[in-house]
Amino acid sequence: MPGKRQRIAADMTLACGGVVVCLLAARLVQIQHVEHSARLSENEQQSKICIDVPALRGRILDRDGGEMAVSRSLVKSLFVVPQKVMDPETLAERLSEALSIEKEKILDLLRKERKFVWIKRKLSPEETSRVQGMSDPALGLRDEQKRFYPKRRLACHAVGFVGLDNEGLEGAEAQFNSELRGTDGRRWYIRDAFQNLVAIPEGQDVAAGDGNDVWLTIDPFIQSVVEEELAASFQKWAPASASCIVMSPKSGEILAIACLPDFDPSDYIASKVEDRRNRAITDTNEPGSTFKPLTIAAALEFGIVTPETVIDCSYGAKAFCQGGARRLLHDYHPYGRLTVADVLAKSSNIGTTDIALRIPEQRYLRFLADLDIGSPTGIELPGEAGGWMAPKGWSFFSRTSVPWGQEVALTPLKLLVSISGLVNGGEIPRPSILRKITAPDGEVLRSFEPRAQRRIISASTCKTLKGMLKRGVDTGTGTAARLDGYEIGGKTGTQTKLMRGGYSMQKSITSFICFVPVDDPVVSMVVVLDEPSKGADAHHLTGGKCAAPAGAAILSKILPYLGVMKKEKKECKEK
Amino acid sequence: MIESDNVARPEERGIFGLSDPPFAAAASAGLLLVFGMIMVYSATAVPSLSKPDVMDEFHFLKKQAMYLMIGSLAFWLCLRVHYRKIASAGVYLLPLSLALLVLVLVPSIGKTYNGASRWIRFGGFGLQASDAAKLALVIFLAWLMGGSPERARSLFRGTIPALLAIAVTAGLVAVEPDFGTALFLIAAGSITAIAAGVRLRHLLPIAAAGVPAMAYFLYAKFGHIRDRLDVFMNPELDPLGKGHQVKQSLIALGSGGITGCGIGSGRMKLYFLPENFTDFIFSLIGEEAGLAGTLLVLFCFAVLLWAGASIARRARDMQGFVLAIGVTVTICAQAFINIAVVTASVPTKEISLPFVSYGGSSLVCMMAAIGILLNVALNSGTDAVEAPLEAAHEAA
Repeated sequence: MPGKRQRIAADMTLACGGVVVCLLAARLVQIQHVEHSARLSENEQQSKICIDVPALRGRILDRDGGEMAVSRSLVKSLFVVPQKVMDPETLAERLSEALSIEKEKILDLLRKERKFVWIKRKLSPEETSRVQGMSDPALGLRDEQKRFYPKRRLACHAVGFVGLDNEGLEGAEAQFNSELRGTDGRRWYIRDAFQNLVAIPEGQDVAAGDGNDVWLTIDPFIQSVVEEELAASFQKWAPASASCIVMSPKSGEILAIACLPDFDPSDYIASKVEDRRNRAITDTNEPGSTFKPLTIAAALEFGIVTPETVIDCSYGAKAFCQGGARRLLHDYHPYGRLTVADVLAKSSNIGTTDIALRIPEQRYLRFLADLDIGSPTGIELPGEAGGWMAPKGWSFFSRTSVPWGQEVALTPLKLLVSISGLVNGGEIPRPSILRKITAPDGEVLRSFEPRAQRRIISASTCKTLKGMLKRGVDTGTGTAARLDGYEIGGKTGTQTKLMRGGYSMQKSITSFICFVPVDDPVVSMVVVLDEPSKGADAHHLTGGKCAAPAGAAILSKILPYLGVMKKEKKECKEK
Repeated sequence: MIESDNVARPEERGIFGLSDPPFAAAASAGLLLVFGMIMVYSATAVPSLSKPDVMDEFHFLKKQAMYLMIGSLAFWLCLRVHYRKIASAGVYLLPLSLALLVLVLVPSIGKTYNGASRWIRFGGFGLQASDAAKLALVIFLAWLMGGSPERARSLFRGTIPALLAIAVTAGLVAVEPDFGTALFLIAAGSITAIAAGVRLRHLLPIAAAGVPAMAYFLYAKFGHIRDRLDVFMNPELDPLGKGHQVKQSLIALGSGGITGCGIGSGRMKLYFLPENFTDFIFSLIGEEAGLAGTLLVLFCFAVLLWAGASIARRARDMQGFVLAIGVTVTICAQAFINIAVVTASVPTKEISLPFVSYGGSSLVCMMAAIGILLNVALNSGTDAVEAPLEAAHEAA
């Protein structure tokens, strides 16, 4: 029988235990209630992991909605977690059979002391199904996006390409990268302390917002015609490079832009870096005679000459003097006295310079400044060059060179935009390659508004000038571009290339710029062949001989497509 | 004279008999066992599935269920054999368990885990010798003190043999080394001895001389104890090393909040919290069942403490009293220390949570202990004839 002392001892034990229980309960309340949120966030920080769900990159479409670049996540890549490999020998043997890779190579990968090793990226469908059949816990497949270019090389310079990580590197892919990329989604996983993913918790995922579609102004038919004919000229004249742009002169929309040599955007690594350059907007060259219409337009606009004003062209050689400066100019074909219209049609350097010298210097400079010579056009493509004028400072030499296209350098696009501004009614258009941007659900987010930048000549000057340029094709240097039934205005250019130390005698840039129809142009185009080297003497490889026929070949195919009607022959004769 | 405390009257049983101490003790222990099985399954299902050599989510649950069956056998034996016979076996049981503790230290027999030899393996099973020693010490003290109150009060016949038994047991456990359990044995043994009647004026001078000397010895001699104390004083000292477990334990408890994240859906068991289904299972209860779950477990042990103390008060004799108070202190003190460890209230010790933690020897010994407690309770009133006789004898 326990005595009183024992009963007191039992009670004391109970009392002490009671105190301990109360203390522990208080401690539990402190940890689990007071410090709950801090501990919970610590728990989530270590046990939850957020993995990006890549957004599907948007498409690049031509103006009709044809896919030029499209992403698919059809491809899977195989990785291994080397820690989980139980039997490397057997696994390597099976993998080498399934993927036809050497066993030793796979064995090396399996033995790497890393948490994650790619075995093969972007598997073929057969390989994928073979690997899926193996169902080894150490192996894993991850979806990967692949960029496809369904039209292959078509408009490759405008479309551009993406790198291995699906970020745009060139062309529209780079320019509109932020639109195309979309926003990656997030998916939360629960992981264990060894970083293995264990489960997916509910309700915290953010779906990926797929990229927007970018619609270009490129017309697939015109683009393919341009590329076809440019390739034919490339074969015939063997130039170092060639480029061509077709534009709507009023809206500034680029209907086609092509350069040669080109490249395959889905395998851009195989091409040379310079071939990936969009030469039509990145390369500046002295335009030569194609610049003359701008000078003549200024003289007409300021009322200094009329098309009928007679200019003395001094039979091919004339010295211009001002102050102490003296400049001797030559013409390729010697002419005596020509009207202003013929100066342009026959492309006389002397005549053009004579006219330019009649314009007060400041007014001429203001006119060139309005054209923004030396600045890029602002087209939505990366890498556009600005060009330059009178690099050693404006002098009498410049004053006698710039009017006919020396001492000034432009990109083919800038030249086309400037000439289009002369013939579309007198306003410089803002060139654009972006038609619209649409969300994945089709909603239009941004669309292209045709916008004139500024007026440079009046409508009447424009009309006069167009008539003069039509003569250039009908009877002047551009006769090779004549097409029965169509009224074409145009100007050829042949500019000897500026090499180190002076102008080359052998290498020249030939160009042809034109617009159709003359009355109300719906299309303007520039063709540039850089250093044609085949088919004729170096002296005879001119814009009229090389570039103009290429332009005519393109026009003959695209004018019916654009709905430009042929004029009745009678009507032509009457005119 | 009839002690009213000695007989549980039917009208005192209350709702469902919860105010009946043996019933309350059995109910608490049963609840803890069930909760323990659920939590062991919850903690081990995913990790054992991901272990390539196991690949069975029920692997640990099956083993624990088998231990439960062995434990039930031990419980039944301890309930059926009269506690006096158990107490008188104490004189053999303690030396036997001391022998086991020595065997553990023999390298070819003892299994070393975490730098300490604590296990004896036979067949597929491991026996943690210190678990058996806890029970054997209590039974030995019952044999020693249970004969007569005079013996407990005597310095040479009671106090010194009792302290010697405690010291030898604790010392053998300490050299494994397992200081947590050694300290626990000293605490539980001393409380039992004091309750049994050892005079404080005998005990205190010995303790006053022994405790600081031993504490200093432990602190100076054994590196990992010192490290643990240092880390306990300043957990940020080593958040990824020894402080890691405690830090993770607090994260587990705290992230559960009031209601927990739901049983089965905790994340700390995914290898974040080491020893999550053995010594630190209470933290997982905190994460998955929240404050509600942890307070329920604490409440169960509080009920067990109350029931044990009540049973001890009503025990028929000193042997019963010492057994009842001894097993109650053994169970509850271990539970409270475990909870204090996982809540970072005291420095880390390897000590399991009775009835709940995974582990065969602990489970079997704790079920045997509850069997002894109920044995004392059930035999407190049966010898109704003897009680008045003894009372008369005392009165005379």
